[in-house]
Amino acid sequence: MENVIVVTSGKGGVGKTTTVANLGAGLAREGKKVVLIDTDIGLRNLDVVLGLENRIVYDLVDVVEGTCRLKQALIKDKRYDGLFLVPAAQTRDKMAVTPDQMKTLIEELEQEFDYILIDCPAGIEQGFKNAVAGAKSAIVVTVPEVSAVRDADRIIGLLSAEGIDDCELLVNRMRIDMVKKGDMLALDDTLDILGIELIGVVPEDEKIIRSSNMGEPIVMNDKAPAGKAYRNITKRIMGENVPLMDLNDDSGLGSVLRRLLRGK
Amino acid sequence: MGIRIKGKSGGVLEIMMQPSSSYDEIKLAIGDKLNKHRGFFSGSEAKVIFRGRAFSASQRKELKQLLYEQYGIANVAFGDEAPVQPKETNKPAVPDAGDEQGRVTLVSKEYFDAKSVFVSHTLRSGQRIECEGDIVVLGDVNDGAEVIAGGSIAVLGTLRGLAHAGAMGRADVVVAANVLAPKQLRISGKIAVFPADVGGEGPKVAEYKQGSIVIRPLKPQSRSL
Repeated sequence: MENVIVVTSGKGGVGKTTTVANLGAGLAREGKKVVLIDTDIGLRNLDVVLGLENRIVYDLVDVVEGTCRLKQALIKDKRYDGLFLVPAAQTRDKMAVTPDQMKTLIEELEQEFDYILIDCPAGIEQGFKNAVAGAKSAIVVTVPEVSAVRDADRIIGLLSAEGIDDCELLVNRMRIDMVKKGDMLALDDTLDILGIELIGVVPEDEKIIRSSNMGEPIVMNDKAPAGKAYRNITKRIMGENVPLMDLNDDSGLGSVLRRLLRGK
Repeated sequence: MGIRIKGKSGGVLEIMMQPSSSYDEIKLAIGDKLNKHRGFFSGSEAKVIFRGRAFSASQRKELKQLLYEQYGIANVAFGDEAPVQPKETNKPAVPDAGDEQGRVTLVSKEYFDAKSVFVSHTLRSGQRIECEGDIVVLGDVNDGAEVIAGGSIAVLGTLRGLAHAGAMGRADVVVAANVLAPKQLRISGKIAVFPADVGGEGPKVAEYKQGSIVIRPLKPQSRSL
């Protein structure tokens, strides 16, 4: 993983924003200086999930249009030293920003930050194009469901066409009990179809709902399985070799996952 | 000399020639007749097809240039290449649009750009490969990807997407895959909706026999397909 990472999926609602918030907080927790950019203009969510919505004065569109200086739009998170947010605009839409403007912005941010995480909107149109401009790596988020996997496949193809070949998969909302019953797509099948490396698996965790509503990323919660998963993924982004969590499975799936992560 | 010009539907002009006519005579006659027919051409839809006499490659090039520069006609086809135009078609051939009889519209050779294609990677959802000849994919064809061939298709991986062999109407074609698991298979315009499990392991071949699509395991055979 490089230092400018776009988190994308194609499909909506699979956990991109939650992932960006948690990996951002996770990296800050590890002492890194991180900026998160919400490119979902018109439908912004990253600010809410981080609990920073009442501190927005300027946003991404203001920056690219020159209404304000970049520094004025950066919101510093008071809980984590080193975590900053560039929020999206809510009253505009995705045509308000161009890929070139994004590239310029990222070049400027790279000088100051260790990591830049870009929250990509659902879809493959202008929002996607804006989000990937300037990105060097991608985390493709999917859930173990056929429609999400098909969209992820499309997105991986599009990322490749944009020159982003460093893509890794994050499988979110995994429920081993459902996999065992055959009600959920097995991880093996997902990885078979998508053919990219796995950066991690986040188990389904109802504490996520509360954490989103409270604006407190779950990565801070030592007791939550999803929190632990995000902490592990954070370490993998930084290059550490962290074994996969035991998601309470005895079906041999764990060994499959460990084999797949061996390359790290 | 016998050059006849027939207007067909959709802005298509067929130029019928005698094999014995000389090239220069033809050029003169074309100019003559096309000047009279100028009103017939409506920009990009205009198409000219030459039939009845073979031309060399350089002659074809010259004719195409002449038609483009003098009359703005970019779409020119020659003899054996161009299929016989149907007498009445109001709709342009939309490839792969299905109907209730389980068939899709076939396309003509002009639809394709390439003669054959060798893809050395997996095709992802949303990617479409098409050519007038055969297609080989060294990888999977994922759900949402499409492979359209005038000839046969071979997938050295898992076929989960759409494959249409014989898209121009040839029936002597096959679709073969290491794992044949498409959502839908089409051969020579005929659509086969795939059953949930075809059964049996190993590579399979789908062929078009007597109006339907049949699937058999791929085993080495001494005689040809």
